[in-house]
Amino acid sequence: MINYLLLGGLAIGLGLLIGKGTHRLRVTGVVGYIIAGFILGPEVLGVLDLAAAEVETVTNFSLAFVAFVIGGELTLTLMRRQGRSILAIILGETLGAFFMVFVFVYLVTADLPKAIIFAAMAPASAPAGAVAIIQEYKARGKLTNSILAVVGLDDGLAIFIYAFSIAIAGGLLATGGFSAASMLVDPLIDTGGALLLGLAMGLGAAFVFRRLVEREEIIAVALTAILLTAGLATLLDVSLILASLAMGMTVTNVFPRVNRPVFDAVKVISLPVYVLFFVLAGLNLHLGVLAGAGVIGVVYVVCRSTGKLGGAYAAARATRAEPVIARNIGLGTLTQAGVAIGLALLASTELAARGYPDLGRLVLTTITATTVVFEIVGPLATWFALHRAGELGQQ
Amino acid sequence: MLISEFYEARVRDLMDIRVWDLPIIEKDAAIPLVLSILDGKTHVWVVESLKTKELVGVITRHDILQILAPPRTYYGVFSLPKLYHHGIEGRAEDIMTKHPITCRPDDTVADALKKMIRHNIRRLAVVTDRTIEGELTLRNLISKFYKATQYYPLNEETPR
Repeated sequence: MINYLLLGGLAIGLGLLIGKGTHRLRVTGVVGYIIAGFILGPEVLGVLDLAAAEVETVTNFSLAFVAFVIGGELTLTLMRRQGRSILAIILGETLGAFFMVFVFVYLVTADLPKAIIFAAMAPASAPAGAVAIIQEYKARGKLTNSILAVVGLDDGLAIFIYAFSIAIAGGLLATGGFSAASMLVDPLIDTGGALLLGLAMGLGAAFVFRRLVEREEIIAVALTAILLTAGLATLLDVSLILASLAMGMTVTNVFPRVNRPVFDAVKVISLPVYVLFFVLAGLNLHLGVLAGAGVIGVVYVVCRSTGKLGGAYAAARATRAEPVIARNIGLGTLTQAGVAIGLALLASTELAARGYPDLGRLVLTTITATTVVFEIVGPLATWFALHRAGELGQQ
Repeated sequence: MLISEFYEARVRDLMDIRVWDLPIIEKDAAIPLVLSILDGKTHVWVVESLKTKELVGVITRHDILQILAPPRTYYGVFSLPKLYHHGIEGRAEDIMTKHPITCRPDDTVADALKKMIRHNIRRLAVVTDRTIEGELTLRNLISKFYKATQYYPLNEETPR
């Protein structure tokens, strides 16, 4: 019998340890957690060798948890305060990355579902890398505020784009070609159903949360809501991650101030969930696949970068944002970490379930490897942008 | 029962209404001024301007802990953290907690106490239409409750 408790302890413990080490090297802890998973996984020690269903269960729970937390950040007040040009920049950089990756991966592979899936990974950015630079160099100014707003808010849109795209890709893989069902009906049912489910669950949860006082109760009810939403999404075959995002958004927007402690309480228990999640991503890293992913990896890195830079610039110019923002904002959005890996892990389990495990492994391995690249390049690009804008303070 | 009476009492009856004596600063105030107030008080309310007294934030001694402590590892992966300033550069609005938890003068003390527990805080700004009218602190409540046990009415300073 597999000793899951021992394995869980090993996974979280080693993940934290190596994550602490990568933090010291100024690389996000996410990379450390993934390395821990890789070491424990079949490619090195072989200690952790879980069945697909076990990985899927933990992944689905973690992603539902993550999406709930991200949704909790997306308050309407915050979005209204950002103004037209920030919202346009978010739209520009996410869609720019999506379309650049889509077009060039398709040109290289001539494989439409593959191009759509890789493109769906591209929009997500990671706030931690940008925040680290801003914090360390005491950056302050209009560009600094804009970068924080963009990297903090674009994950919600990235998840929506993913949910829509994966439904299209799934339809194409199932039918083997274009059809009204695969291109429009299925994605609309998948995303629309998820949004309705999240809205309904969020409304119910918001009213319950409002009456709770003790933090322990709040955490217990939050986990109940997350598990029920994820379970129902699976049962109804709609996007689990989008349903959870919509649930978090609803909870935070129905009673914004009253329900703020819900997300504070949930964040307290978030670190071990995140560590376990990324360790599982590391388990699925395959060096053999990595070697084969070289060309797609390079295309992905180049096209995601140019798409984000170009999309952000075009949107900023179109909305007459200040030149200092238009010229530099794209550089602050290159970081990639948690959400992209989460989406890749979700895509890989969904693809494996549909009978395409090799494509799933390729997606996960490529996104994980490119995350390392973006986590090194992204913060440097942010530093350069802030330096060029003259917003760096003293170290 | 005194405790039932205490729960049912209105915030307006127990709050500190000496607005002129409340720790209040404008959001543009320099951080050294904040530090000088927090040298003596546990918190300071931040307002848009002293004239309108529109409440925009609160700074507690715990916020100053973030300024004084050495930079720490940030473990958040998916959420945007609060940016902490180190040192005394900057303005009150850079270090304040935005949207402080408030109550209204008509709220009951029981509701105010539940808010304090739920949000893990010891003080509430009492506001009407976003304008600060006073504050209700745990210290206020302890003092009033203690006096009530000593035969003072809950909302008066003279013995009954």
